[in-house]
Amino acid sequence: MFKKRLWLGLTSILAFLLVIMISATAIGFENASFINNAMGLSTSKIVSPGDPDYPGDSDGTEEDTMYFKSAYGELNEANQKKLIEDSWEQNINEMKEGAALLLNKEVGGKPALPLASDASVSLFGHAQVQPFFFCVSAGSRPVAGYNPSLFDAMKDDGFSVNEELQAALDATDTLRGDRGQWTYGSAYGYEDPISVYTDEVRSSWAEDYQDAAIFTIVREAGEHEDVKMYDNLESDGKPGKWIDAYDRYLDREGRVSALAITYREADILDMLKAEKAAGRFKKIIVLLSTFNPMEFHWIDDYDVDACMFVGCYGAQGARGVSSLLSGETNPSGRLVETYAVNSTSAPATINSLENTPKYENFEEIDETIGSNENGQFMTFQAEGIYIGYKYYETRYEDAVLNRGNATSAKGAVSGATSWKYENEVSYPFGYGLSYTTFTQTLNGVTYDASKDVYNVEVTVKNTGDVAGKNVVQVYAQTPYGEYEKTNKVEKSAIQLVGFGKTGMLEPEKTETVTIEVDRYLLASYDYVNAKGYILSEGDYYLAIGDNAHDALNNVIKTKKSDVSGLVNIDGTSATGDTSKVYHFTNGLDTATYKTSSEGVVVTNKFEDCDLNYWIKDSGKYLSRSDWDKTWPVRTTVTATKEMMDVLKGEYYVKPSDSPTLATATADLGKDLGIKFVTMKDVPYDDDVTWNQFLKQMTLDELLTIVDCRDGRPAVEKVALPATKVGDGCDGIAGTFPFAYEDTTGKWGSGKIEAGKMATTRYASKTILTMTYNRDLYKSRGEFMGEDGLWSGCTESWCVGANIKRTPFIGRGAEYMTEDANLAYMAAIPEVVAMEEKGMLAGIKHFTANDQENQRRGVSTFFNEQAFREGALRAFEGAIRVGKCKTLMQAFNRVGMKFASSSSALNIDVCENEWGFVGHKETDAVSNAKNGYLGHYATMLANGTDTFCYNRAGTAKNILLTQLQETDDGHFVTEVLETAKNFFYAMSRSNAINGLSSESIVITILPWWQGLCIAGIVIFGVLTAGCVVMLLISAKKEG
Amino acid sequence: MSFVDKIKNKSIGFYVALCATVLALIVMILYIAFGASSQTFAGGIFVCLLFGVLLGAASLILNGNIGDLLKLVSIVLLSIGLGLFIHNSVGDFADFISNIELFGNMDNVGMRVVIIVFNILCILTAIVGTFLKKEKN
Repeated sequence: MFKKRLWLGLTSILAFLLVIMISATAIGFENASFINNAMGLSTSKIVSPGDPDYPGDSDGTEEDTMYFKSAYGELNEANQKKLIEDSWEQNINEMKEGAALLLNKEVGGKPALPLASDASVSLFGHAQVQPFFFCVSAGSRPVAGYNPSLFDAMKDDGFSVNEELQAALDATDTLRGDRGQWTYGSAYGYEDPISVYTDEVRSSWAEDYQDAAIFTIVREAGEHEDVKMYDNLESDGKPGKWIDAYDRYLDREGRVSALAITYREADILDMLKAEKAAGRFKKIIVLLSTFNPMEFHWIDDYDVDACMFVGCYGAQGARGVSSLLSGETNPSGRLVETYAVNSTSAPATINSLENTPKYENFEEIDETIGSNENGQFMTFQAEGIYIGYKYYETRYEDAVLNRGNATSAKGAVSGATSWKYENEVSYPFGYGLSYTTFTQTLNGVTYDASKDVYNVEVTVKNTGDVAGKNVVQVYAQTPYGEYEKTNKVEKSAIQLVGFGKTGMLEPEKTETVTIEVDRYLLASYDYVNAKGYILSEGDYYLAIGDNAHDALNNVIKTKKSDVSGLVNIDGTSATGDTSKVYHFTNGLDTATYKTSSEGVVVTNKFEDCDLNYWIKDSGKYLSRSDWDKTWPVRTTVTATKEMMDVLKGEYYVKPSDSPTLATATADLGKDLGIKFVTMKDVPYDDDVTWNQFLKQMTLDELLTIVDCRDGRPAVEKVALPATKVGDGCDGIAGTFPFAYEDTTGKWGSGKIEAGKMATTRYASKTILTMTYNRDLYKSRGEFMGEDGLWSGCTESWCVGANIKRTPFIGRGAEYMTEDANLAYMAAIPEVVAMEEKGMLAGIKHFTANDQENQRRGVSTFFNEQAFREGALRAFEGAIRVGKCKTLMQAFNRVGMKFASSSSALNIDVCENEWGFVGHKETDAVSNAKNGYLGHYATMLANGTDTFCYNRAGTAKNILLTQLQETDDGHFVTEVLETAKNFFYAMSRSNAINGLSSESIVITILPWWQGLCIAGIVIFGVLTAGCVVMLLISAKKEG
Repeated sequence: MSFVDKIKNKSIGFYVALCATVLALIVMILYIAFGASSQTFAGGIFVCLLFGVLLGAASLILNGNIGDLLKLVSIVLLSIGLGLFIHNSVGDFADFISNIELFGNMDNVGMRVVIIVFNILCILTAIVGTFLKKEKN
């Protein structure tokens, strides 16, 4: 009896372990790509002639197979160290040149900043102990020990920093975000309560550390969650109490956003103000370590002397901040967004973010098409082109010139009876101060017809006392006349069309910079009459200025010499400088940009993305012809049956003349010995060679490449090795192969073992863009490319080009700017440099992913002018000019079609008009088997090639099953095109490194997978053995 | 033997097995509630848990080889149910770790952990029960 129970018990134990082993193996194998990448394991091996396990003989020819070489030489620990430290230097330089000095008052006859290099300071704010290194999203994480806080950086730079205060802040319970790292877009709980500053803590600065109180404020958000527009709502949804003094900055419903300061921050500022008044601090400095603009109206109320925007640090960026505070670096960053007094005043907030409405018949939609089609929400982009400064500055001009009811109270801050610029804007686009002063002289403008550019020559002189760099911004105003009003061609009063930056200018020195302005950027899209790009008839102005508002004042003065009412950003009277403006005229031109640079006619492709296309007069766009009457309103409609048919998402239909599957695949699978690497020099349009190459693979092999979970398996037939994909706009989330340690203390301390050193996290994309320095954009691309070479990534989803439609966008730290033209120009150097290193630059998210709320499925309605000049323009530089070979699409719908299913977007514009060649990948479809993210055939047929975050075989198996069930031979042409796009892109990447024409690729099973299989076998055998023994003992006892 | 005598004759093994069956029942109820509220109900998991409970209960009543076989099959079914449930939980856990909603719903993680823990406890209890006598005589 005992023996039977023993065997019964052992059998049950082993059976349990066997089942668990099988389950673990299934889970592991399904997620093998992710696990292998995390462990740094390869699943394929390149075997070349001369290698011990190379089968057969070589022809003896030696080839240099390192097609993309690192600038740091051979991959070894010493060279890796140099690369890492140089990339950190890049991070620091981005911060040095990107941080913007917003305020710098005089204290004791001198500017508050810079501080003396040996100043004795106290650092305030929970951010001192929980710095904002990166926003919540994909990307490298700074490695512990090598991510200095501001406290660390300032100490290293020789400042004397209040350590007792730092220790007190470190001891509090405050934790930003709900799990210590992440946040859900609210500002509450970010900061320590004032009770933390006990008498004992305050005594730490009673006698010392008084040169400056430096208060760092953080605002953080990230993927899937925008910053809250209404952050003071109680659980019943009604606004809670707010700081009474700021009632005037609430919206009309008493709500305040997470971009305003909180009670706790106000309490700390009150304390600092009182301490300063009592003579214990000489100055108060505020650092905005935020992902997006914060509201700023309170700054004077707390006697703040200086303020700097520093964004997310990245790994070592705090050192850049310290360098700026000490004056070792002279700030030269300029804002890439507008700082509004009340961020909810932007017209783009009315139908987006937390205000995103559902269709009126959303329940019917769910019942009709299925709730897994995510069809409930819609956003009507009523603001049109009026995003950011284009709204504020245009309305300003109209207010000054008394046009278009611009001074109406509609859209004005709460309680105002009329709209006034100085009440609406704290800091304009392009704003930034320096420790020195500069003058800019517009020497002249010439037009170069051969390149279709205007060359704007500007001489910059340093008229101050310290060396510094200066940004030259070139803006344009194009005509807004009767043609435009009749045909609904809206015009921003001012738009950025070019920029440049001087080198380091010593005092009294000058430098002449020539800025190229692409005339194409002066064209506007007329979707009503010309149905294409036009150059309007009338007066054009190219202007320079310290910022967008300054440039506009110069233009207005030029247009109307007797104009009155011009104001500076502080509300004082402005005069405008006509010497900074170049004026010319143009006739109406509908021909020049009728065709794209690829020779394709550009015409309306997105008419069905306008809500009015489906339901007449259902949506009104904001127009400067009448700001009052066209001010956006909350817009929602009852979706019609036709609309629901589009929302349904399945558009692919097998053509009636489709061949059978057998016919279409008859010539697949013939091995001609054409290896993947030999395609590296074959042009894309050499269809004959590409078809020969592709048709070596079976349908199954061709579809192997469509699923991507951090990488793809090898295709042995054509010797394509397994590939790895990075992700992150400010760091590719790769891992360096060798160990790292800094023994000098310059960067940090601690030994990081081989395979554990993350690739660098750079400063936030916003900070990089704020440098307005193409050399830094380029070097960012070079370093990201090097990171790819060293960590084995062939492509990376990076270069966030979505425009920051509002200040609340959750991924604001990853995106460049609110201005589509700036994104267009800034992306190009980074993308080109990255791909020259062999890592494909996957710009994302293409396009109109302008909010995180409801991003998966929200119908995005717009007019074609706003789309082409906004969401499309932001990507056009990287794709059409920079020629990137991969991109990631967006989660949202373009109109009502999922971005990955929109042929207008992916084929008509991206491929045909812009000449994109490469592969387009979805955003994370996450193993969808059906529903919104699961219409694989439709996506492939509409210009998508590959599917992100799918376990190997997910889409492949669904497609194979579908093709077999429908006997659809036509679809094989889609598969071939997809594979061609993918292999073409890969053949231009570092995936070809190490491959010679005779190399073969063999698949290898990582050790843990082998262990899993062995485990199943062992437990299976043991379980079977126990069962046998159990049966024997049962029989004996029975 | 009267019912009371039968109860008095039960050994610790019976009560351990009873405890395992009760735990299995709790797991099944928790799963039904969780599956319904999170819209992740999977029939395969439910069937495994249901038959795990039923066979476990049956093994309390039936003695001899039949009873032992039912015990064993019950453990196997509960283990399969656990394996399938963990497999279905991967997306929710992945989102919880990354804090980005991509594969599932991170709000489900708490309940999933509870069900997994109870399920493991139930299986381990049942395994212990297989080593022990159900009756004293």
